[in-house]
Amino acid sequence: MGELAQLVVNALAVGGIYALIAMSFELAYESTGVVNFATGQLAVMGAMIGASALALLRLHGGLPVGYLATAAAMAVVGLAFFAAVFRPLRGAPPVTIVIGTIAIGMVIQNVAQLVWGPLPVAMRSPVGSGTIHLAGVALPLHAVFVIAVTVALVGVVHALLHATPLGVQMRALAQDAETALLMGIRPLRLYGMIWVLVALLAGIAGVLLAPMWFIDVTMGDTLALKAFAAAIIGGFGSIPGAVCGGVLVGLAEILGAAYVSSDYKDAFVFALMIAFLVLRPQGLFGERIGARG
Amino acid sequence: MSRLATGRTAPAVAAAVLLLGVLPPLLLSGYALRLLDLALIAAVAVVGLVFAFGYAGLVHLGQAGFVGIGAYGVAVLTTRAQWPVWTAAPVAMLLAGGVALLIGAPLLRLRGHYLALATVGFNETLVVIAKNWTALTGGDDGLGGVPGIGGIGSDRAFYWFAAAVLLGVLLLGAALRGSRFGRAMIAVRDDELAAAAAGVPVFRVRLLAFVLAAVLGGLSGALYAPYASFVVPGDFDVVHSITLLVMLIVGGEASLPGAVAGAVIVSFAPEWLRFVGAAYLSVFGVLVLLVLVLMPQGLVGALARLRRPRHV
Amino acid sequence: MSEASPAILSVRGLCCHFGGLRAVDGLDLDVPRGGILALIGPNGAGKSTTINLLTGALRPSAGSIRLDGVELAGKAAHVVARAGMVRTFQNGRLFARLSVLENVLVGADSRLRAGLAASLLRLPGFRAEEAALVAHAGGLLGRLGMAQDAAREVGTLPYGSQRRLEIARALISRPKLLLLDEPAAGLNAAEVAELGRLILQLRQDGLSVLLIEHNMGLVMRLADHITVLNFGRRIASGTPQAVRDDPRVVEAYLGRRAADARV
Repeated sequence: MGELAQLVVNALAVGGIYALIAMSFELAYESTGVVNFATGQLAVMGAMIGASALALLRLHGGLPVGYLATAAAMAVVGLAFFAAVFRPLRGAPPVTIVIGTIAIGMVIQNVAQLVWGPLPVAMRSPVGSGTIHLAGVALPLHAVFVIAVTVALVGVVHALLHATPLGVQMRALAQDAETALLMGIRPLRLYGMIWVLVALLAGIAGVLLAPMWFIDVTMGDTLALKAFAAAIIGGFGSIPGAVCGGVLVGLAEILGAAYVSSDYKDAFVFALMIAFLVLRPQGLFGERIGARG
Repeated sequence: MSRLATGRTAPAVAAAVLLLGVLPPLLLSGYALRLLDLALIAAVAVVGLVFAFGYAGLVHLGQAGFVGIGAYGVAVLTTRAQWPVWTAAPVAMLLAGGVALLIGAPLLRLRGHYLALATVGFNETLVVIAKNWTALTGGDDGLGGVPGIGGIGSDRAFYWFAAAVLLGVLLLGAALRGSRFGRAMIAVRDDELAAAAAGVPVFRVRLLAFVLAAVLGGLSGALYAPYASFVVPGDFDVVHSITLLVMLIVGGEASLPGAVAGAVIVSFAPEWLRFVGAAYLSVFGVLVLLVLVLMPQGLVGALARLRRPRHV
Repeated sequence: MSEASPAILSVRGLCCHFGGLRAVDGLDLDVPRGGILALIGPNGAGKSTTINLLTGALRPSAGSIRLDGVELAGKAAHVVARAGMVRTFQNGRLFARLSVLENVLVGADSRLRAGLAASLLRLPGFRAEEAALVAHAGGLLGRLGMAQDAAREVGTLPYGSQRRLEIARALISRPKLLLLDEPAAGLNAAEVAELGRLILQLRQDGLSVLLIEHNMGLVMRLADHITVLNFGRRIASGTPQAVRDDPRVVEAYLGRRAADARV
């Protein structure tokens, strides 16, 4: 019983991280029309920058400054993505965008490899590596922290999109770019901000994941595939969907590995994704797909 | 938009392939010749993508999975069942086509990037299976000792053989393009609704394109396994599917000669970009991005525009 | 139903409901064999929905669609086309990457028998069939005044030729019934006159036509029967003369005031 509870908490933490990456992916798709196949590399970038920033700044001001520096760096990455990928590929057919973002993912991964080398990074959790005891079950503190941060971030993003003028503008732009233009929205500035947010969400996911797993520069695609699966299972274009999808993927992976076969854990996730694509293509919460694309 | 090669241009295609195909193997040797052999093997799979994506518009990121089915099919049948390559290869191709038929029936209801994601998932699932079904595939260690194709002892001899196979594939491709099947594939991609209203069975046409692509993927793998004599799961992962699609895009997505040109260029890119050292993937990624932005019709489209800047 | 049935297409109780909206609501329709039925109605009357229902692009909520006695309601679009009911589109939909000739050939997909192997190996059976088809397509293009355009890219054709090309693509399948969705839209007066002659010629050849059109002059000149649609229902049906004088039709088009004034 205790073991199952631990597994579920771990699955929720991993699932929460997938959900954050899925949100990054969906935010890019919903507001800018770009299916971002480099989302995983953005998450890895966050982990790498975070580890370096924390190591460098530990002497000079501690954790908060390190996290802020990481966020600032990810914002710059987001702006670079906006300028180098989004602007030239805007409005291109799906396959061009798919290949284009894959190409930029290669570039990011290669740059990360040149800067940080092939070894995984080590990063300490801000809450340490201890455990807390809830109802007699020992739970890893970091996993509980990840769940809390994910819940908070989901709330923040939801509030940002639905309760601030910026969010209203983003949704207006996503739904009808021409009318939004007529209403005085400055699209490039807004698109720039969206890409900053896209990079931040993925980067935070990387920073949260780094203390749990050894992250190396080649892990981007693996992460992205799990997040894509989460987005498909939850339903495209739905934040609650991304969260539920992420949690389901986390559960399928962790419980499948524990009780069925750890070798085939990735296959469970893909099988789940393909089953959803075929049997319930709109996912748990999302739009009907098929015609769109 | 440049008009596609039609059945009438088949002789021109054949002539170009002969001209470009005869000289290099006589001039090259060693590693470069090996790269050229691998480029021809890849080109067979890329021609499959011409059908699936170039003609029928399926965003297919799982072609390396079908190459893997062909390669593993031959490797398993020749090493574990002692079949000769000549009988193992057609069976492996049929296996690839059969798998495509089975998974295509549900997956091809998806469009655009949804299909792309589903094919990625399919490809990765195959890799997971190849890594873990150790009794059959040898797992992560791969499967070695695949016998070569009888009578082909050198890389140069293999070149002639692979070039002949590729030429046959190109001729079949040109014939497909000039038949109702090729026309229907292009019609389905250009305007699905109008194609259906004209009596084209859209789903069957998409499925046919997908299955034919898989059969050619299987053929590519059936050439690869005896050539390399060794297969590992990592040779057929999504990265390789992406590479095959990049070859297609670089050459020109709906062009048979473009498929060959793209396969050769992308295969030699690491060699030509050797001087950038460890930054190779960055440079390659940027080059791909530049091709997408500056030459959306690929090399063939860009050449066609140079040749006829005006239109009648 | 026998060959002697007077209607080639017979639609009964056709409905299409989107949620609460009744886009088409219990429509009855008969296209006379070898004749021209015009389907008219104000904007938003349900004409486009009707043609989409008839050709399988939309699935009807209820009703029957019988083409020459064969039930087609709810069948997929390509099945409907293969059964002999072929349409053109309001704004013209061609295959941009195929040549003019190839666009026509796509329309004959249902007639071709050569299999995949015969096509890939270019066996004699395939070649003969293809040659006969190309000759037929060439003849059609010639009849439409487009013989010299066969090898062109469709994007370079003038608009009027693009519309005619769509008709050629429909005709090559040898349909029993041709559905023309606003074929005169965007054409100049000379092109409209030419279109009218073409449609009359086609009827002379024995083809049945369902014409959806806003150009009343053209409709009055061509149609043997007219069915008037409003709010998804048939409000009048009859000869052009009878329909023109029907107060319900005048009202639907011009409003009650005008109808009263005329009566």
